[in-house]
Amino acid sequence: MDTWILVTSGASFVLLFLLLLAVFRMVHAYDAPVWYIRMTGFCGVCCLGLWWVVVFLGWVHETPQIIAMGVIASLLLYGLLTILFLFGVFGVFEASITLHILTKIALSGKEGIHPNAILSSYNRNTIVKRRIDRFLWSGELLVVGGRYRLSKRLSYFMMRERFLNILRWMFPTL
Amino acid sequence: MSLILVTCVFFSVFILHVAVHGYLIARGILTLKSTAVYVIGFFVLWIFYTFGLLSLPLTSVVYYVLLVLVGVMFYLTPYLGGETPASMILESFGEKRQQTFRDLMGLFTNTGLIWKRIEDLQMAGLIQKQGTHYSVTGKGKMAALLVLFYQKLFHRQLVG
Repeated sequence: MDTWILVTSGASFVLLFLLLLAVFRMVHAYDAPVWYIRMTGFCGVCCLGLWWVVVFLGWVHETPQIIAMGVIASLLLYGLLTILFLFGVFGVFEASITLHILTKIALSGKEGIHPNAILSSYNRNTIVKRRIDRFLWSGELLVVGGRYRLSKRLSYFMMRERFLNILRWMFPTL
Repeated sequence: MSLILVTCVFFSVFILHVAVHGYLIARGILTLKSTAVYVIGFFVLWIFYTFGLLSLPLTSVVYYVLLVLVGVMFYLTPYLGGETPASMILESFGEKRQQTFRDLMGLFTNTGLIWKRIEDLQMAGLIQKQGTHYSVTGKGKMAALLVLFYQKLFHRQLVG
């Protein structure tokens, strides 16, 4: 049972990783978060399917209650793996301004880059415009008469900010 | 049963981490070493295992490791993530319901968005200043290669 929990959750996560490799090549860049959530749900269902196969083939001989616990444990591990990937890898690499600057400097080679050269292609104008475009694409913002306004009362970023406020309260900085 | 025990152990250690962090901050110390408290959880799990309370030992350890990684990641979020431009844009609509591009641009400066981050990168030892130019250090090159590898692997463009 112990091994099957690890196998099913691990296999579901590997499947998610492979699907993301394929899907991210096909969808619009701004749609990536939506597809991440869709694929996470799909692979969660696949995790249940794997358990069905394992039970159907008679590879586990436990009571239905214990098997149900195993399935819940698998989904828990899979859920934690996806959270780690979403916030630890995907979120950081997708939207980090710091990493964007670092990459720009790295691509400039040994001679380096003058800060003005960074600013000429990457500045507050491009940063703000990119985020507004993303919000318009996702439907979080609307344009009415040349002015932007919120279309949703509660968005992912709003929830993220509320959550961050709790974290800031728990782990205050100097 | 095993996972309930592990969850209880994790949250107990997490509360301890919050307390240790608060104690250190009150004394002006900000250190990542406070995350070492999570090692206590492994000892507790080992004791549970010795007394036969963990029916799923492998799953329990993996579950605890993942919980700790999530906990440490969330602990680091206020430092690494800070208040992002995206959330600042959305929050600004709480004060002014309709805004132009100019209004939204006015929320930011190049100093806050770019210069501060360049300084942070330099302080972290990821980039170095050579005269008027900035170049990456060995550590910075590794980090940048990781970003480029991610972009190549997932066919992503430079975002952020």
